[in-house]
Amino acid sequence: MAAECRQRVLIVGAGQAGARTALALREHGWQDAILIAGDEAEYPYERPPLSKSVLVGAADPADATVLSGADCAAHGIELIRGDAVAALDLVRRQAHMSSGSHMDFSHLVIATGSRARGLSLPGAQLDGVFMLRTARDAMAVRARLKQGVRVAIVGGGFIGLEVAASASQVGCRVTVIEVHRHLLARVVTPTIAAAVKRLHRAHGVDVRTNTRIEAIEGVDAVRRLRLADGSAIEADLVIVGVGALANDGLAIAAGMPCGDGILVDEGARTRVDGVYAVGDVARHQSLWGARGVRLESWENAELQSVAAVRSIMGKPESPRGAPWFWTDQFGGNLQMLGFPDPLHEVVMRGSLDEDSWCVFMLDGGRIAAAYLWNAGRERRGIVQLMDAGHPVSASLLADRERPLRDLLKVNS
Amino acid sequence: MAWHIAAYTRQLQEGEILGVTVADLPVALYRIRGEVFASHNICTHAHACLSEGYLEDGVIECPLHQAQFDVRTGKVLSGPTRVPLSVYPVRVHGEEILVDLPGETVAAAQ
Repeated sequence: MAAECRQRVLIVGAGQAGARTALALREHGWQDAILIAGDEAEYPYERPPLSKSVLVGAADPADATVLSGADCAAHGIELIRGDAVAALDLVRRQAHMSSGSHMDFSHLVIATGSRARGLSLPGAQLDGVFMLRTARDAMAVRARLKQGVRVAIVGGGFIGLEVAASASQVGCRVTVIEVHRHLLARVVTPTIAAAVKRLHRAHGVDVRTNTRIEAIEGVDAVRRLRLADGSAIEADLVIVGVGALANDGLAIAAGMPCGDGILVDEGARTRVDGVYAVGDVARHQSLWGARGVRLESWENAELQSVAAVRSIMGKPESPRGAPWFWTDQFGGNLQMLGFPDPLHEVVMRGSLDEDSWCVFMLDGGRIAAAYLWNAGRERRGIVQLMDAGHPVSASLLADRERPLRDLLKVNS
Repeated sequence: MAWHIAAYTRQLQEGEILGVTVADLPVALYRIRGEVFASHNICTHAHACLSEGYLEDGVIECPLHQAQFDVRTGKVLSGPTRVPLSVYPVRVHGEEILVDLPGETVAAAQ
């Protein structure tokens, strides 16, 4: 009978955030049962390599495994692969699995992630049209990326541009089609977007911004993209990267408040006692001064899972710093910190034509966001300035002769 | 294992990192409170030189994706890798910084 009295954390979703939650529970001293269930066949893995090293064949998805069979055995974590939770009963504290069984829990962590948004265009179902989200997706795309293959990428966001760089690297002829005027719209400044466009064009990628697609054409398999101006782009392969949507269907069906994501506080708590949400599926009510944000990032999966565990264990919250994101394209590394806004004052440290630069977005004299191109070494100093909320002078920030560490001293 | 001269103490200031190639191996040297430590210079996560990273309190942070390693032990402290960093024994003889690297013993210090 004693076994039935034990508590159990059920983690729904076995991606990075779910797996990190399981591991962090043990690190923080959780003694009772941990069950993690996901619909993918693979052991939980991190997704950043999928669009980069995995696509070019330099790595396999399993190289980024977060929770292996050996980890599960070592930490007493029960992992169910290939079987999704189909419904949640928050009153009885039970999850119903697709396979028909059900699981009891005392605590529930929802880590169901996000899914790639599809295209609602004629021809979107043709063979040769792919999205990139899972290890399986990445391996399917990799099998098609061959020298000379014509690849059309729909969407000039991070996934689209990383795939463009990877496809280009293996010798494909790549076109990127973006409906907005700028690449990475709303994420970077127009001047940075222009620098990214130059980078891609310098590597032979045909970048078409301000371009709308009317249809994907072909008989059985994709042949071309028909554009709004009537012209066409011939393609053997189409990869769609037009954003992601939260997998919050289970939570909605269970009656939880959601809005493209499950609403959570700083401790990853939902409105339901004992129920938490972490990773891509969670919408932060408040994070580093921003309200209602959902972050699809490696860092968020890492940190929010720890926040949920601290809440479960009754430990005080540790404050989150400026959110951090990275992308790697053509051997360059772009890192982003904070939340940019078009109204912010833009301060350049270095020139966008150089191999390394930083761009700051100032809000009332404080750094609200920063972009670092091949300048990861500066990140820590910038984070310190941002998290301390120190006012900084634009001219000192722009002065590359002046180490950023010194600015912190000036201001403290 | 074999001892090699990796650098000279004047090349490595307090709190700094120096990237060197020793016997074809990329090595990062760190000087922390006067003491010198050595590790492989390439992050175990992605191809990035740790000597371009950020050193603080005995922790080296990769400039690319924030993997953090204890330079004394090579232990992963955080970041997108689980593979520890190879660290190498260091001796300082006068001006010379010697590191004990894996591989053939032909070049062993006398």
